[in-house]
Order: sequence, then structure tokens, then C-alpha cells
Amino acid sequence: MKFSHERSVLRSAREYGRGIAGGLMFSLPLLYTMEVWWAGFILHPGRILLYMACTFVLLFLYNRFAGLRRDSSLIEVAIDSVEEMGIGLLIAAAVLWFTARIGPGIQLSETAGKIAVEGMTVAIGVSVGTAQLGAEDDGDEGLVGDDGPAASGYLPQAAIALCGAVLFAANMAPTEEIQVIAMESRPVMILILALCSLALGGLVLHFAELRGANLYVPRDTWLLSTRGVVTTYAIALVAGAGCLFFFGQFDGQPWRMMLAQTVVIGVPAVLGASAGRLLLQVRPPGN
Amino acid sequence: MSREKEEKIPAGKNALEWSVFAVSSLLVLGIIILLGVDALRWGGGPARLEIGLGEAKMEGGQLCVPLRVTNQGDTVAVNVNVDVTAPGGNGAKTASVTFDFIPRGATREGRVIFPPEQDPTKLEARISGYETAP
Repeated sequence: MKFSHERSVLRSAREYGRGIAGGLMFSLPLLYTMEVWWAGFILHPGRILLYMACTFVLLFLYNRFAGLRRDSSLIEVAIDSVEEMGIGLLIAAAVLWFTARIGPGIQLSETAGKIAVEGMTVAIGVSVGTAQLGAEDDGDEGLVGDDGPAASGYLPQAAIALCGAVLFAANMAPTEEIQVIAMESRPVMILILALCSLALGGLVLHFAELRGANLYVPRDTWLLSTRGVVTTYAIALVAGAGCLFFFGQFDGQPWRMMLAQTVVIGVPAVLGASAGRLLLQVRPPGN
Repeated sequence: MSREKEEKIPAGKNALEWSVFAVSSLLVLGIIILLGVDALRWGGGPARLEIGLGEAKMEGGQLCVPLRVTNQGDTVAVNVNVDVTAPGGNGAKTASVTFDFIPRGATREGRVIFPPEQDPTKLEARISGYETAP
């Protein structure tokens, strides 16, 4: 098997260190959230397996289009994604053990469920941390890889927006607050929330001039700008609804409640799909 | 860092990277197998709760009675209320304990407290209600 990169053990160890730091940084709120622990034993194991499969696809997309070595072969990207999942599971297991959420007396299926549910979000954090927390001269491709221009295309950007949206939405989707807000808000307020989310996406992508916006946000015409904002919000809604489904928030709910919850989670998700998407691609100056 | 770049680096992945990949693969595979087996065993039936009363002890001038609830069913039981009653006609005494969750196959332990004069052999425990997870 041929590999596109060669690194010393020390450099690899540093990369894993960055991944662990990123994993903890991006997922600590989830590791300390009761509803996520509960999801580990309430959800059907098949749904947790589906969650793992979707996370693998997300990691694959992120590593391919925005990760550290975007010029790698698909097999290398898959290997990186499996490594990130493994590190995510290890970190989740360690934190759950330190916080006495798993251990002697807890059933194996409950333990596996908790570690799997927590570990997948940690894995996304590991991936982002590995790519974004690097030193200025780490010798890897970053954004200046051979496929730099291709990564700014519509579909790659949509894929990275999905990663950003999931990273933000997954932190709130398991909480009861989303249901409470959706349940107690009048329909007109939900509509205003949806319009505000769209405006927020437009503000971040086309007005606030975030770093990287000039590279990754097409804004040649009104049509392209509008398409970008609408796509970003659509991706945010899909990511938010997916997270709500995986954490069981749609179970037994009428469709109106599902819709309202999706709009409510759409606020953090659209931030992830717009600002988060740009931040996920920003490399330190000099690279 | 520049010194590091001049080092002779082996081609392809190094030993550390292969080790991390091997351990990660085992972990991911292990979790998939565990969850897969669990999914196949999932019956979809209701929770089935069994109570066991332990040996009562005097603690701090009160009679403490430990109890264990095991869920032998297929779904999680939520907010499980357990009442332990000491029958005595009009003077029946009841102590209660609530468990947030009892997952499938799991056992949770608690304690109920009675006045010191209570005869521990005459206690009766029952589940007075619980929610089912959606």
C-alpha cells in the first residue's frame, strides 16, 4: 500500500496529542450531559450503530475535503477516520470512567452504548483538532494541498458545512431544552426563529467577513449568494433533524413538534454550517 | 521543527500510526459486535421488574432496609417508584424510593427507612409505577 505522507513517530505523537485536545475541547459539554449518558441505554442498539456509520461518513468527508492531508488516497482517509473513531471511543471511555458513569456493576451493553454515543462526537472533535490545532509549520498540506481549489467547490463546501452543523447541533440535540422551547413557543415565534436563522447564515457568510469567507463563499452574483445561504440553512436543518432523531427526540412526537424542534436546533446548526464551516477550514497564518 | 524535517523518516506509516490504527480498529469492531449482538437480542417487550429486599439493619436509630430492583425485560423503565409497606390495618406504614432509570438487564439498589420498632419480616415491596421509554 502506498502512502502520500511520511512522518516521524514524534510528529505522529504530536498529531495524536492535538487530536485528543480537540476531541476533549469540542465534546466536553456532551461528555458532561446526562441526557447523552441516558441515550446510551435508552436508544435501540441498531440506531447507535447507524449513528456510528453516519459519523464515519462525516469524518471521511471532513478528512477528505478539509482535513490535514486532503491529498491522501481514499484508503488513507478511511484509515484516518477509523483512527479518529478509535481515539474518540478511548477518550469517551476514559472520561465516563473517571466520572463514574461506567465501571463495575454496570452492564456491558449499557457501557458499550454510552461509550459509542459519546465517542462519536469526540471523534469529530479529534478530527477537527488534528487538522486545526497544529503548529504553523507542521509540514502537512492543510489548505494549500494539491486539491485546494477543488475543495472550495459547491459539494465539498456543503460536506464541510454538514460537519460544522453536526458539531454544533450535536451539543444541544440531546437536551430537554430543545423540546421545551419547541413545545412552549407559538408557531409564529418558530417562524421568526427560522427567518432569523436564515438571516444569521446570510450575515455570517456575506456580511461579517469572517476569515476564509473570501476563499470558500461564492458571491459573484445574487443567485450564487442566495443559493449559498439557502443551502447552508437546508444543511443545518438536515443536520439538526438527524441529531434529534439519533438522540430519540423525535420518538413518539407529532410532526408539528418534530418540525418545531428542527427549527429550534436549526439556530446552532446554521452557525455551525456557516461560521463553523469557515473555522473548520482556517489554518494558522503562514500555512 | 526544521531539525525534525531533516530526520530520516521511514516510508509510509510508522509503527505508532499502525499501532493506533490496530487498536482503533479493534475498539470500533468490538463496539460494533457488542451493539450488533444487543440489537439482535432486543425483543421489544415491556420492562419486567423484580424486587428483592435485603437484610434490615439499625442505623442511626432507624431501621434501614436495602432493596434491589432488576429489570429482566426488553425496555428501559423510567422513574420507577417502589413502595415498601408494613401492613398493620389502619396504622400501615409505607416508605418509598424512586429510581430515575433501570436499563435492560440492569440492577439498581436503594434503601427505605422505617421506625426502629418495625418488624422487618413483615415488609412487603411492590412497584407502584414507572414510565416506559419511547
